[in-house]
Amino acid sequence: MTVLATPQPTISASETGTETVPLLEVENLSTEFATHAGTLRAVDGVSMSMTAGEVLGIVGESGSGKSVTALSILGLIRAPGRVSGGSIRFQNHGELLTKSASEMRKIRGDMISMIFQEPMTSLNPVFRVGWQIAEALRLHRNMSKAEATERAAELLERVGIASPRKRVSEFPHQLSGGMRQRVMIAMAMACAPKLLLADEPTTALDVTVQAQILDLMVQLKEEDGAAVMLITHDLGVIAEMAQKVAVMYAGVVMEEADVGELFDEPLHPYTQGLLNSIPRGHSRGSALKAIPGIVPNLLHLPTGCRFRDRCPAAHAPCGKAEPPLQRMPDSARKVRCWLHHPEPPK
Amino acid sequence: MRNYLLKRLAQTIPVLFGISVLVFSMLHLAPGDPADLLLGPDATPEAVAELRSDMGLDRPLVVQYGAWAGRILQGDFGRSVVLNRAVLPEILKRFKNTAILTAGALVFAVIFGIGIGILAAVFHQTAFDSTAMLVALAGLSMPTFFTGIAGILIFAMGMQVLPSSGMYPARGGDFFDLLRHLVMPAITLGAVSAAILARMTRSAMLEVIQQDFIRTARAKGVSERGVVWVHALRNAAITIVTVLGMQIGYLLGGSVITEAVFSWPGLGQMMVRAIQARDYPTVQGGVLLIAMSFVFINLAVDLIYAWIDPRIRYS
Amino acid sequence: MGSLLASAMAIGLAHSAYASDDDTIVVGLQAEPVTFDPTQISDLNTSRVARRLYEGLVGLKYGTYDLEPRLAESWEISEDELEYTFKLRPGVKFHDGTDFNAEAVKYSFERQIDENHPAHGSLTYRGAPSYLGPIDKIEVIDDLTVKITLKNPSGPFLARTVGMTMRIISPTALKKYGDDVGQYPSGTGPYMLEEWEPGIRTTLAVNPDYWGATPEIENLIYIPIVEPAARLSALTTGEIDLTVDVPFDSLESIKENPDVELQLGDSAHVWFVALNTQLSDPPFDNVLVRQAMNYAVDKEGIVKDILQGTASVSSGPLSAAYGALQNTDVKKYPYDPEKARALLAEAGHADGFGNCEFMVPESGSGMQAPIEMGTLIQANLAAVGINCSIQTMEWGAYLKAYREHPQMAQMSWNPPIGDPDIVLNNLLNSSNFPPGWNAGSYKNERVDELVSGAQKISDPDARREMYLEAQTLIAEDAPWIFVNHGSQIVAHTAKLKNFLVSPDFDLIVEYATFEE
Repeated sequence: MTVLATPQPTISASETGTETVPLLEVENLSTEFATHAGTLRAVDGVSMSMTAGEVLGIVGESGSGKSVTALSILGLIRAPGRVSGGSIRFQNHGELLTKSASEMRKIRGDMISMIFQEPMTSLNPVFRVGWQIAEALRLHRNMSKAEATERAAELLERVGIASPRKRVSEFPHQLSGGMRQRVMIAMAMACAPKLLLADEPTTALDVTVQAQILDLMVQLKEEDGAAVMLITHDLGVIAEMAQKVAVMYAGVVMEEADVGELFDEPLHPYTQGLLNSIPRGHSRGSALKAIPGIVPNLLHLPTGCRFRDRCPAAHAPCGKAEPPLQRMPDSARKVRCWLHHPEPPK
Repeated sequence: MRNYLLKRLAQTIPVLFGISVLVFSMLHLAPGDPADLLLGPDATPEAVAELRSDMGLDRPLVVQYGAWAGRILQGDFGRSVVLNRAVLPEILKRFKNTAILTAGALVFAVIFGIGIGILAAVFHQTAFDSTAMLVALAGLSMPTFFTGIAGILIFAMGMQVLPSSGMYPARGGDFFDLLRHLVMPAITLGAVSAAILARMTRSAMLEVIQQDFIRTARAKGVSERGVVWVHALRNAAITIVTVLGMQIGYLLGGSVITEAVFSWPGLGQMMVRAIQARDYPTVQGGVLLIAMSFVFINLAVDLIYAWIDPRIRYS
Repeated sequence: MGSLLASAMAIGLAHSAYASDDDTIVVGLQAEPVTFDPTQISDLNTSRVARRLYEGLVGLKYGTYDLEPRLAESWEISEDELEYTFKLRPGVKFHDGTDFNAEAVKYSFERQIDENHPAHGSLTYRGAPSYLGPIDKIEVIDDLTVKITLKNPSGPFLARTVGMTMRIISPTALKKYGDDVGQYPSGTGPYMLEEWEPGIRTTLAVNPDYWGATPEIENLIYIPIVEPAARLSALTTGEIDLTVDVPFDSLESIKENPDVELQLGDSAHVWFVALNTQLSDPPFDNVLVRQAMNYAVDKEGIVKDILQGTASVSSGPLSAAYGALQNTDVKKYPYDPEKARALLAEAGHADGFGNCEFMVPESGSGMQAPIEMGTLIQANLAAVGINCSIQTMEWGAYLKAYREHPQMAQMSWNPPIGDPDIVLNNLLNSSNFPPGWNAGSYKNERVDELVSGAQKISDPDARREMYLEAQTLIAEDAPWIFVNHGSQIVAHTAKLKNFLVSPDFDLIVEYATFEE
């Protein structure tokens, strides 16, 4: 049984006190997958908001719904999955969920682009990397083949690839993993998107290369003014790059806060668990130490709070009802936990 | 690419040499003396002796091979015992006909096999997909002579829309006539290959479509058509070309039965008659020609491979 | 699929007018011609074409085995039956325009006999011993007279001059084309080769200078169609006008088709089961047992049910195609299982016997439906207590095994010429014991004497008497189970008239016409 979350107010410009217009507003997003065993809700009423140039970190264990959220925003959820409810509004383009396939294609790769976790398999092995970068330019900028290829070489140079004129005509298998991720970034940045969805962009890379790639992303984001949704399970990366953080667990947001607040004083026991699992002395590049227990099967969620089975602070109200994402007094942060709720069920 | 081409060409030389040794040995490995075989059971000893020295069978094998290979290289494939004509022009004429039939079958198999395979993958788990795969399974299990004779009975005898046999009508023989006569044999011969190609293309496409780079392409804003026909097909083509290469071999071999059913004047029919008549020069010439075409088809497939898959070209 | 069908129909309809003009006969053969060098032709399909191109000194009266003058107007045979003097027809020209004369006859024959002859090298199969073997020398008496001297008298010699090997080819063509003469035929026949496209068609055109009556039909086109169903289909759609070897199971559908006519031609074919007459176990050495087996087999049933009436029941080696040479007044073996049992009892085998092995080919030239026929014969014999097991073999292996002492084996024979010698001597003379075609080791001294004797004389009446007596003895001895004489089954468009089938399996189209 799934508990439908009630619509939650998003973090809006007026509330945070800044004057920026929201770039992306996700409201009560639900994405389902039909399986033989039943319908599985991978994203269950998620709401979030981003402003231009902002970095939002999304953190959580595997299967928490981070990647599905990003793919839902990009309209890339394919059968047997579907976005079953909610709203995604993007800048002046309005509601994305009601856009036609061809309208979405115009947005993808142009306004919103995405970098994936696996640079080894995310590039097409039978096409030259220059062609693959140029493809986005030809699709969205109507560039000729020659112009696009020239621009692809410039983009390669910009992402720090040496001798880019030679590299454009090489194939992915001729490049190292780090270089391929640079190519992916060049491809994603080709049309100077307003929003970059980065799904674990450094996870598959060596530690030293991870740092270079993150630095590159920061640099490009600064230059182009793009907002970045940084999906990771590495809290160190979040601390380094993000201004805001959403902690996801089993398809819902558990806690949402500015990055400083979150690291200084994590409220949710799950967030506390995640932070405790970072080895001391390392701020980046360390894998999470697992919290005891496993992420619950989304087809068979526990009643009440979905973290209850693994929660060290679980108490009576936790089994009775799922806590709402409750805004904390005098702050923009929100927590989904009865410990922090004024009226937990009796 | 040029290096790769030269390397592959060089590799064919020992293969061709091996084939020539095998073909040469055919006559010598068959039980009994080649002269006896050629002259048949009623030969007189004098005739056998005469033929032995005519053929140079009294010389060492290596010398015989050298002389034979030398003649082959100069295009002298000997004279057909039955037709009493030079072998090479005859087998080339027939080979051309077999090539036309095979090419027709290939075109059919490629258009229908690959086309249906791709559509079945795109419309995965729909009624189109399951119907196409059922038809393909039926196509696979249907023996060529059955399809062929059924075709003759339905389209030639019953509906009278297509000719039943041969390459040309009794009179005339323009390109259009050839096309009409090609339809049934080509479909008959190509049906099994089309079925195999459809199944292989479908599974290759389904596998490719699951890949991460397809998601990347979609994230870039590539249309579904571009995803399928450019990004996925080029990758699936690696599997498809392998299957296709094997199918060309199968089609060349399978043409023997189709040629018999439709009286198509190809090399297969000629070889069957030559074998029955112990016409060794013709058999040797035909086997050599078919084997050589296999080698060059394989070479072509490998080159296409390298063209499609840069990982082969650059390693 | 629908659009495929539609486009197939569109192509078909756009071109469905098969050009079957009234000045052309299109013949569907089972295979294409191999060579047009008359000495090298050994298969029926090639000779069905080549007989239009070449003629011999003597010919067959169309549709019979009766001899009549052809390139020779007349001939005389010397008293000692060794010298044959042929008076040649004047004014005959070869297709290449050169004259037919005595020198040409000498050249054609000596090419095959004399190993030092300049044209001998163009022969792949050399010798042709059975046809030209008896010839001692050939002399040109004058331009239109040729004398052939034999080593010994030969009864069948005149009949053999009808055969393909003894048809006359232009010496000029032989000199000009050498080894390639098979592609550039030049005879004297009513048709000439116009175009030969290997595997596709062979086109003949009428010979405008033919010495005899010029055929009405301008062109003959022979196309090879291997598959019987495709041949029939081509006939029903009008693509071809005439075809041979219609499968038994298609006869009914042809009979119902008003546009197609079925023609059954008498032939010299004979189908039999050879019994090993030297074998005591199973007791095939006992003439009563062999006669019993002849009574036991339902030959009428085989002809009616399996062969669909396309054959006649056999009572000896020679068929009705031999005319007066066939002895019809011989011992007959109608289907009579009671009589078979009585004869077996008389022979001391009242309970029958087993352990007999019956060899049956899977298929074969002239073998009709060997497995069905073998199975029926097996059942007929079992009904009178003779239990045989059937052993099937592929045709090539079968031919070899047949000549090497089988117990009991099927065979058929298609004599290429109309002389009884080719049947009786080859199949039943003890000089052809295994390994040889007398596979049952049949030996009757009187039969040997008659058959060998008839080879050495040429007086037709004397030879006929000898062959008639031999046939009486053979019927009495029952060395075979006599089964049937198959007809040639030819199907042609109903418009085709005056077309003849010849007992030697030739298709005589020279004097055919089209009528609406």
